[in-house]
Amino acid sequence: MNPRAVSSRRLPIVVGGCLASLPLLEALISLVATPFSPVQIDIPHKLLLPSSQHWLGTDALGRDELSLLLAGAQVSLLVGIAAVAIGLGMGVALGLVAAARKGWVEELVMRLADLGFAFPAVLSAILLRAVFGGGIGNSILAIGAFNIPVFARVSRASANAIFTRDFILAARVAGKGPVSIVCEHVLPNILPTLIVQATIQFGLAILAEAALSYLGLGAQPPQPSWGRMLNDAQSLLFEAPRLALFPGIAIALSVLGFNLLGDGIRDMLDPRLSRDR
Amino acid sequence: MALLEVENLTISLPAADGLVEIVHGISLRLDKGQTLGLVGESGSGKTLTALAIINLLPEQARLSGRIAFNGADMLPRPDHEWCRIRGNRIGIVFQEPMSALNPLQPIGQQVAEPLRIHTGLDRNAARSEARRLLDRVGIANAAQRLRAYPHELSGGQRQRVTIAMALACRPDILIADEPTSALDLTIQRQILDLIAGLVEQDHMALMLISHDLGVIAETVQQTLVMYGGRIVESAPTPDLLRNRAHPYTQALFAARLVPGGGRRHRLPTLATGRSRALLSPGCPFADRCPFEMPQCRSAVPPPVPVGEAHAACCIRLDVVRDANRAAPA
Repeated sequence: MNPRAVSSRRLPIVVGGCLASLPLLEALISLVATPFSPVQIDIPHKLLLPSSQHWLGTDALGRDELSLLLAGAQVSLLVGIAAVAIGLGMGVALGLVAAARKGWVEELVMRLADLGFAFPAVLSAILLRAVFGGGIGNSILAIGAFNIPVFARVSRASANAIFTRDFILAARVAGKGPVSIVCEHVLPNILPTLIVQATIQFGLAILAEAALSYLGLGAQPPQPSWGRMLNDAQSLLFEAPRLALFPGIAIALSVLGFNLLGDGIRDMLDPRLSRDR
Repeated sequence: MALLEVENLTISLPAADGLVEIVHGISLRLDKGQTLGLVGESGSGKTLTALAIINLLPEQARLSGRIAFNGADMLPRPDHEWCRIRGNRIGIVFQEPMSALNPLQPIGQQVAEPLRIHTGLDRNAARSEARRLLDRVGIANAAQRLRAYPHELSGGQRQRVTIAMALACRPDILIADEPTSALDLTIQRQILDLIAGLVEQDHMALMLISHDLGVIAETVQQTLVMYGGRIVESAPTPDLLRNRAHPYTQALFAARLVPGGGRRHRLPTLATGRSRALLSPGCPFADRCPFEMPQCRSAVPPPVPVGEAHAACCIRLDVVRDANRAAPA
């Protein structure tokens, strides 16, 4: 294999890693300091074009666009991490129980997962909003709940493949109980698949959070969020299209980054895929 | 009292159209230090029988009959009582050494696992015992190899590791399910010699499962030939090889590898995907048997004595024998 082939195989993972680390970087910077306050309304300076002072200009209320973008990354990351954590925790637990117990338990879990798929995150967010009011907690719950069946299916399918291997029988012969077999033998072996799926779901969660905030179901004012920035920019689409462009680019690059990263990790972990390239 | 007694063991597995009986009433017994071979082609029920003996059948499987270990009937017992025997008093070596080892754990840990669970050894004691076991199964540099991962070992070495795992608790019975089928011929030889040597040193009973009469012939005292979930012939191994009574045993023998033998006799291939032998009321081999006649299909042939401790389940043994004399293989 020549060095070029290696680098072209690593390209997605490098590009994806860089793009995916953008929102993280933005959120970290915004935690330390933003050029201007992302919540301070400054009507006299509304809709300024990008300048040396306001690098990306200001929005309809005079807030600094760059500061909003940086601070908005916090919500995206928070929702992404929490929603994937919920999906990963509960989904993997359910999937592993289904694979380990088989029979009616597996049937029940998988039919519930089918049911879960029938409810898009937006629908559950509307429901939660109606019951509890708005807020990013709702986004987290709605997107997290949507992730549960995804991880349940993936972990059940990969766990089933591991369960057919003889070392599971060998572990049972060694006298191990089902819980320690699942934790010590099955879970580590399906971890690569789960990491890939988690990366991809993270990108989707960022997208879903932006969608929910855009619809007014997620982050509430004055909390800065990419989705809300899009919503605010909507009415001024013709006067100041850049206001929709910047958060749009931020969302697109983050989602693209996490997808590329997920693909890259999968290629790296799957020797059959990487050899073909 | 026999170490292991299996009487009239019947195993059914669920299929699309309900339970299908795969193993029909198998009986065998294994005494201390005795070596027994189960030989037959894929799907004859060899592995299911072995899994039943250690109660590791899939949960949906239904079985009946009697499995007694040291005289105690084990079938009605709950799984935690099996746990004390399985891996502890009965060790098992699986067919695929790659699949039988967890790719993410060092082999030392995997060999030490049964020791820690069954004998309660602490981490260090289990580790040094694991080193001794690896040494015993012929792994060079055992102390360093404890930390090796399965992918760092060759196929033969991996199978040695699984043998070490099976022997960890000094079992009374070693079940080896096609232990050499995934290995190349020279390694097969070494692994068989290793198993035979260990069994003799420890006075273990051995149950060797194989589709290869050659493997069975050199390793075990007693051989059971299985076909379609039934034992069709049982005999002390030398008698079986000298006087192959059942037509299936003869076909199996004729199909063995002979170096430089050129074209070999082949069994007629069955037309249907699922063997009708499992469902027909008569002799399971009737569909492929050159000596088949209508009576063969009416009832399962009972064991007919052929010699001392030698029996074959065939109603046309005399015809088969005459045919063999007329045209020696």
